[in-house]
Amino acid sequence: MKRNAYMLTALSLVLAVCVLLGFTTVARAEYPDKPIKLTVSYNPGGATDFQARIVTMMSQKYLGQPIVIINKPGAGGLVGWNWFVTDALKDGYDLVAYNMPHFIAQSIVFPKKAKYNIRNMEPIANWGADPAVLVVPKDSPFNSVKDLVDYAKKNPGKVTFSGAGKFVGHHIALLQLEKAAGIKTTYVPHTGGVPALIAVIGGEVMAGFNNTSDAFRSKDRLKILAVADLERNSFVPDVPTIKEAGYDVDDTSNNFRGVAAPQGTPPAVIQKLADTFVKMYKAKQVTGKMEQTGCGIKVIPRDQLKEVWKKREAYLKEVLKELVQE
Amino acid sequence: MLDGILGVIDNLGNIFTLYNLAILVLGVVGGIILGALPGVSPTLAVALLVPFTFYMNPASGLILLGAVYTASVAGGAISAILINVPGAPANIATLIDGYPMARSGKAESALYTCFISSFIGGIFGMIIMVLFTLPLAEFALKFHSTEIFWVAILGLTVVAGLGTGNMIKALISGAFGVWLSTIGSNPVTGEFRFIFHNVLTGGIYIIPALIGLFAIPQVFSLVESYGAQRAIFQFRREKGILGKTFIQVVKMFKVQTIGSIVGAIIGLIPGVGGQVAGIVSYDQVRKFSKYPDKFGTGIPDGVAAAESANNAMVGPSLVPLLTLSVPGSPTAAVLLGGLLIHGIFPGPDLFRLHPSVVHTFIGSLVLAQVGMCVFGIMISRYSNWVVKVPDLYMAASIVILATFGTYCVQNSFDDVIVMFGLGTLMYIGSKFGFSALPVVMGVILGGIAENSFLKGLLIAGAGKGLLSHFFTGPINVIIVLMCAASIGYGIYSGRKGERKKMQVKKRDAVVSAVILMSTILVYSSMKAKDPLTPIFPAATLIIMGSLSLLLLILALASMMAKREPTDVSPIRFPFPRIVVTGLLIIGYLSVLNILGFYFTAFVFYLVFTSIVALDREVIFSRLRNRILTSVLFVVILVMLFKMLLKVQTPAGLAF
Repeated sequence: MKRNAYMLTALSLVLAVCVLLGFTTVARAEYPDKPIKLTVSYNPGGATDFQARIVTMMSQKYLGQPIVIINKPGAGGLVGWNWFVTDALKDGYDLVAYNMPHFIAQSIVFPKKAKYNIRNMEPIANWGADPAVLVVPKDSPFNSVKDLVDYAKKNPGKVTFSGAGKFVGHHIALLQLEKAAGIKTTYVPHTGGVPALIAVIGGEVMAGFNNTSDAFRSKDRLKILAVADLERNSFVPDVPTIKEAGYDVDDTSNNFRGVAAPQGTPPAVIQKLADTFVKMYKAKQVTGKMEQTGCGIKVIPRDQLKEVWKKREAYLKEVLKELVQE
Repeated sequence: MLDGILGVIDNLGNIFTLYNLAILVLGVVGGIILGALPGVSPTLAVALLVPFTFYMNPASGLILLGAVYTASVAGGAISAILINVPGAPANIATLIDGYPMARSGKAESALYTCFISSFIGGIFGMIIMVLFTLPLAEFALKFHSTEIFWVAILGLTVVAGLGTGNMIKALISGAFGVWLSTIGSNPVTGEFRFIFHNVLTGGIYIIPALIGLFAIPQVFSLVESYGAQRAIFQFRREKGILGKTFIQVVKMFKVQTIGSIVGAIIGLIPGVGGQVAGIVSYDQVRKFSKYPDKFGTGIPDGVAAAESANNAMVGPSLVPLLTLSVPGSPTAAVLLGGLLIHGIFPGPDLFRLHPSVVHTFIGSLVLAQVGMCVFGIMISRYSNWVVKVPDLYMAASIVILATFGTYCVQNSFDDVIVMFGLGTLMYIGSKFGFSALPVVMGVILGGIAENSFLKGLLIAGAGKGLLSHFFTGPINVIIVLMCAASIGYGIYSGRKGERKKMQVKKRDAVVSAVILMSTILVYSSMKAKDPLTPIFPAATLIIMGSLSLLLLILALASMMAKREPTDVSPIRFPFPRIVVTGLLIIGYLSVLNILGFYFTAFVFYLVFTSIVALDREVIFSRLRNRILTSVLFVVILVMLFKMLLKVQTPAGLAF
């Protein structure tokens, strides 16, 4: 027993010293002098999480400190973003990944539940864009957006559409199409883009809006009818935009991803982050990995991003007016 | 078909390099340990490792991910068997017989059974996957919302037979679990429900619920049994357990066959997969067994049934990912990221364009099964270390591990509160004959059932109408018939020999009245804008209310009949110790964020093990040993959660 106790003492002391060494960091004057946390409001392994890990992989080189990803998922992103605007540190060591239009749409639809909006978050820089594409099963009778719209006009409410959830880009794309074409359809929200895509491939729904990257990978089992963007997409260059197909739908539904800081972060810190992130996104290693995985890159610096946020909010307020909840 | 197997064999050469084998071993051992931590599910374990593969070549990266996936699925059984807390939802069925085995001194044998059965099931799943890849993919696509809804209902019918006691109570517990799953935002309508407090905004997640429902009652029951003699202290390690267990497991031909087939089929169903494979297989094996009454008392058949199924699920669950590029389970979704990062696009072309990559991946999964079995058995030899931990030390460790395990899932302190709240409620419930398993099944399946029901409803509304949408199609019909058979069997066995199970006690009158009242209160608090939002919770609450009314009537009737109560024994309850435990946990939670997770853990561990015994001699004797053990425990915590898993706990005053 006695020998055991000594062994235990020695072992504990050695380990305790190792651990304490791990905790102490030498203080440096300049920001950042410790790792920066980036909160992702979705599950590990999801598209946002995955891309956030890629675009921050060079931070040691560009910022001198690693960026650690923290996942706080729940209620379609609401939990993580709420936490961020209420509890995050305002010293530049807490950043968040945003998904637009999701976070803006939620701030409009849930004015009480969502504590965030474009005014209490500071844009740093946008890294990517994933436009929504209109997909139908391979054996579908629809070969163009017009076929689908004509059918929907004759059969109001009969065309079923899948998408990644309520009030996300896919849902907004459908709302826009309904408005532009004057049709009525049934939207079937799924829990994420992949289940929504399975529903189209398996023929459970008649059509769907989904991520370009995911639809592109399944193109053998789908027909991609149109892309909800201002210009054609390099992954599917033959597919027309919805606008080309004759319906006035812009890129509001395009899923933009980027980084933001909490309001109240020192301006000098924000500026440094805004400059560094743009450079970091454009690093060869980052763009290489992004292209390899089929994620669209769209770098928007801070000043332009502010305008994009404002424009989106104004437009979404219009589209979502009737869906606002208490 | 056969060229698949030949391809795998051809590419084994890619794996047998020193570097890759080292990665395989590391992945397997790491995966077993990570899987054994409550809260670290296979999905989380794989997700945490994907960034490491950024810097590896494709083959090594895939080997690492495959090894961790396979090993963490089996690793979850370790904590289920040794401490009665499942490592992940997949392992809930393992503890039904695994923990009683460990408690009676057969932990090592239970673990050997677990790893050998996992190996058998795992290899079976792999063979099925390689031989029938394309037909399986087509089959998986046939599961639409309605089919998935019925599968969830089938899983819920299993609930009636779970738990140790009254069938009505098991059903009430199941309904309660389903109701818990409806808290938070409804993914189909986007509306929020039952947000009684801000901590509930994100809803109740499966893993925090799982940890709370099992771990917290376990903590209290360890405190209760403190001081009682335990078989394990007299137990000496037998020679040749491994050999005996091996022969025993191989002889369970029927169990392994049912387990593997059920696991492989369920693994294919998108979204339901691994979480219920174990429990459905356990239920089937019990129903086909010659001695169904022995299940739950600690027989190896139960462990084998659960574990062969949840590893058989691994191979088939990857089929939709590899062939259609659509992951059928959360873990497969994470693996997709791991494939994409190396420029490998899964899908029909994968087998044509990158056959060697696919075959290397499958080969590494097969080798990981072997590694999992070998290293699992080696680790099992030390299981007695865990079993011999004194009750109070174990209780303190479980409180802390449950906190860290819950927190690391989504970095949420709210989840920790929900976990302890649910766990305390479960402990009280367990005193009145309710058990955790049906609740957990309800939480897991409730969300799937509601979601697929509402989607089916929307699609039916736009198409052929509700009845024909839910009741046509061969798969729907088959599953509906299976549900009917399962309910029929439940009623039959209830009438036949399980009269005892229906027995009602006097105190049930009070409990059922309380449940009925709360159900009515919750029901009347419901309000929603979208008519789809309340359908499912309302139905659940009505079922729960009716069941508790039935229980109330039975209890009152038995009181009227003035039958001699068969349970003269009052509830055994060392009141002061339980109160002190509760107060210490509340204290622990309230300073956790202020002082920092690790420092609080140290203080809690020391204080808990010193004073919960409520014995002055215990407090001062061997204090130095207790301090050292606490330091050692916290150091292990730091190494696991801070250094390995890189969990970011809130910075407190200390650390």
